[in-house]
Amino acid sequence: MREYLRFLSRCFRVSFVGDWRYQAWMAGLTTVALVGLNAYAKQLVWGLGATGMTDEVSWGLYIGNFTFLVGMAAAAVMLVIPVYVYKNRELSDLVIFGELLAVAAIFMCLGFVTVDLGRPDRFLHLFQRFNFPLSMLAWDVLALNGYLLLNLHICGYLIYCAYRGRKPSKAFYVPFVFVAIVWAISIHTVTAFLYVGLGGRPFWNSAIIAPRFLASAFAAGPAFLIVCLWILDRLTNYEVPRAAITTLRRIVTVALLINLFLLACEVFVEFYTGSSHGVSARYLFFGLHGHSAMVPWIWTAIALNATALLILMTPVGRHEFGLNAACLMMIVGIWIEKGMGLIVPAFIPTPLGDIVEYTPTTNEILVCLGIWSAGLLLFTVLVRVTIPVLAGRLTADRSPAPRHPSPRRLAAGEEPESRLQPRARMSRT
Amino acid sequence: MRLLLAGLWFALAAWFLLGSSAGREDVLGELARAPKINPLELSTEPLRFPLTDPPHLTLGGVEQRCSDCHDLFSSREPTPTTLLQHRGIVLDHGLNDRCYNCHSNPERTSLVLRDGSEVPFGESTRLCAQCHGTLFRDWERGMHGKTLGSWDPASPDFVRLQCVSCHDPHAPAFESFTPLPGPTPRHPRPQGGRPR
Amino acid sequence: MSSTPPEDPQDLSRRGFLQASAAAVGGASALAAALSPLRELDPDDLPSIESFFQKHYREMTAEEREAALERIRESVAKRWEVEAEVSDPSPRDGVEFVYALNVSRCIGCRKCVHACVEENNQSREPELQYIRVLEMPRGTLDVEKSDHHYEREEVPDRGHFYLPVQCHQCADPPCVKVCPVEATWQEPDGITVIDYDWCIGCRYCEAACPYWARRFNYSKPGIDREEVNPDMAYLSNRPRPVGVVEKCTFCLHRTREGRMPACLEACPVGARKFGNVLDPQSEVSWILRTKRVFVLKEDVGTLPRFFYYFDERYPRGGAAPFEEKTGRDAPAGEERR
Repeated sequence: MREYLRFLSRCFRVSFVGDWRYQAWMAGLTTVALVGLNAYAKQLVWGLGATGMTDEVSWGLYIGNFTFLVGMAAAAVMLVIPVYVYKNRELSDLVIFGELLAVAAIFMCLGFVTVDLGRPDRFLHLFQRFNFPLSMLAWDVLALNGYLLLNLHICGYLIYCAYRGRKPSKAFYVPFVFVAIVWAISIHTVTAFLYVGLGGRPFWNSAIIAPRFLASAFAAGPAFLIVCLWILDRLTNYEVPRAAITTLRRIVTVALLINLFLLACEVFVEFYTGSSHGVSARYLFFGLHGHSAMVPWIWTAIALNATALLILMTPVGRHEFGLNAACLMMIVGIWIEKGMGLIVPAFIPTPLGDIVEYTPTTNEILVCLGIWSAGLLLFTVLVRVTIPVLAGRLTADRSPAPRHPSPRRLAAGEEPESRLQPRARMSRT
Repeated sequence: MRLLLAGLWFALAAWFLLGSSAGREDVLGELARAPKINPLELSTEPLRFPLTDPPHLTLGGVEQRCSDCHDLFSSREPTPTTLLQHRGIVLDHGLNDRCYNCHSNPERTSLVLRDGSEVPFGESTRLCAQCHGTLFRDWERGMHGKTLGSWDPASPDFVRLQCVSCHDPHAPAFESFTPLPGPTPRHPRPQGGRPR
Repeated sequence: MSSTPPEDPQDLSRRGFLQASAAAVGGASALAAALSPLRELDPDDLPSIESFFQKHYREMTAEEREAALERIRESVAKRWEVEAEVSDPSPRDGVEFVYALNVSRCIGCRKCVHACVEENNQSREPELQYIRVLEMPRGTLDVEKSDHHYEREEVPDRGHFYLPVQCHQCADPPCVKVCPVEATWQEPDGITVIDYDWCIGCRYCEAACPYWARRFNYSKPGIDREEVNPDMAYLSNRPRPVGVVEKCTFCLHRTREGRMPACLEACPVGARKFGNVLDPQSEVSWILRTKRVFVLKEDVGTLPRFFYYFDERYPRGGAAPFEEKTGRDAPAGEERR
């Protein structure tokens, strides 16, 4: 126990150490996080009137970001499945980054849900009268927190084992990994059911939403990791295996293809039938009665996703630059499509046919940026601590620098080998 | 580096304390204010107060009954073209253009049915029922008209308003109403109403 | 300690330590300053210990309920210097409330909207209303074609009919199903109520409602002293705090005592009907048995207790053929005289 606390305190100290780029990145994130906190404090005092939400559009940027980030969290499974089910070796070193991303993403999800609550002071009511299994939100609370715990356990156990120089016992984490695979699918399915289950909102009331969510998540999540790994590779001495990136690129390409296919299916149903239930889709894609705030956004998203797909499916995608550009495009594209593009139009027009558009306020945007910064801060710290520990440069052993092998590789029976150099540092994500 | 950071934090703190305003107006902006409504507009009183039974009016401080005059001056004309009295009355009740369709000619304190039988003013509904049979049926069951006091037919407070509590028997169609203000949007809309 | 300095900094000199302390103090003060807007919190709005630990309405004992009512009285007295009568009427046995609205009669005057606001202590700033009157073009029931913001010199307009919408008190309410904390539920008399002291403000119910009947307090409800209706009940029109959802309760503080809802009393044309559907002689029972009745959005399957009906005759103001001869617009009788 004492050893564990010492581990935590050393991790804490390590997270402050880095070159100037690391320091600047962390300082910048902290600054934005504090600005977000300041904005949230104002919202706490005056209520959700500080946001652009209304009775007409009662969910906005917060829930949009939440939905997107649930996908990012679920996307870890796209690394876990190849490694644990198909015994893919290239990804085995990287799978922990996926899991750390899941931890950070769930942290942000919980942040976005919290700031969306009108009475966060009453969150204890969840423990006193929990409407389970009837409310999909209750399911989501369980799914998200369960997933957070699972990933914290898996990452924490593996990292601590590496720190102590022990070989991780499979019994302590492999079963959890398989539970987490199912759980990852379930968090995003439950989040989709949150919307899909509402008969009064025809825009959401479509069985294809859950598959769409998963497809877009499996595109955006690994794309985010590709970009992170590329930055790690460029700015630190950490070398990312080429083969792993290739695998990730294939995953991303297929997921994006499926995502665009499902989107096309949805669009076909909404427009070919011509039923009045397609009115929100008409608002989203073409505008309604002169109201068209969402139109440029959704077409930007589609253009970004289509361009990304084009890049990925041509030789351009094999180049480093092309690949990263495509990944960034699809992250932004999917963020728009799934965040704003899926949440807001369902409220327009209202169930009574009134059209009130939604524009987030500055305060609301600052809160969002603050949560994103806090989440990225957490992710950076997690990665910053994990790399030296797994490389065996930060150990419980006080003797000089024994090179401990990566626990996963030990577990997989591989040759111990570390690519991490003494001055390896996380920089930007 | 650390000093630089310390400087950054202090600058940030100063901005939070001095630069960023956190007053109600600053954060919420201008709120949609509900319009004040004249209490008379929301009165729950019946639209009209029907005549008492038997009807009377006060002339020169003296309470008069209909028969006080009409016993002296009895009108023989079924459809008077020029009225000397009751000039405020506008008769706009479908095909009813004769006073004696409803008012008893010999006995002005009563109304009269088609068959000639007299009906007191308090039972004017029976008179209406002669022509408006389906509406009368609806009214009897509370499907037309207005009930006040209680929703429970067994309650002593249950009051079903008479036809003449809402409709002027001489011109039963309702006047048009000026609608009260519509909803005030929280965020000003780009256009005033919905373009059609 | 580890031999690799960058991973484990133990080399703090005095100067380095001072600088690190300065950065730490700076960081802490930035954090504190970031939270400085919390100074603006009104102490009166913060939950007291008792109200923080107040149980869910349905778990309270009789004494705890009375204490909760007393707290409401005190807060009303403190905020507005108004002596409120806060009650907690129970549902009556053998009563299930149903609303019926005659679309042939409704003229779209919006008196119900504003009577409701006054009765139910709704926020005036920002404005909050439970009833929305839709002006519908003839020939459709598609609410998407409606106009909520009509402004006319006179109503009714000949080319339109009017469809007031409020909480339909569904028998299978989606809003109740989705609430994660059971802050809203259906009472035995069919009224779906909200415990404003339990709602966490997630607005899932607002998203779930197919009738757009729920309202959220995006900021603290603003009501002037002379606007306060002192006749209050725990589950209906007592003042609501910021950050919770509210909605029409069929004026349960009135109707559970046998009175009529405020919107019905304000209706100048008698288009609104209310009563106990379990009583075969009630007005609503007669309407459901004999009139042409419909519910809005039947396809969503929530089984509303709010019915619309119409009369067999042409609605007034309509383009009925005989209207031209005898209607109020062409007083032909005068000419014949």
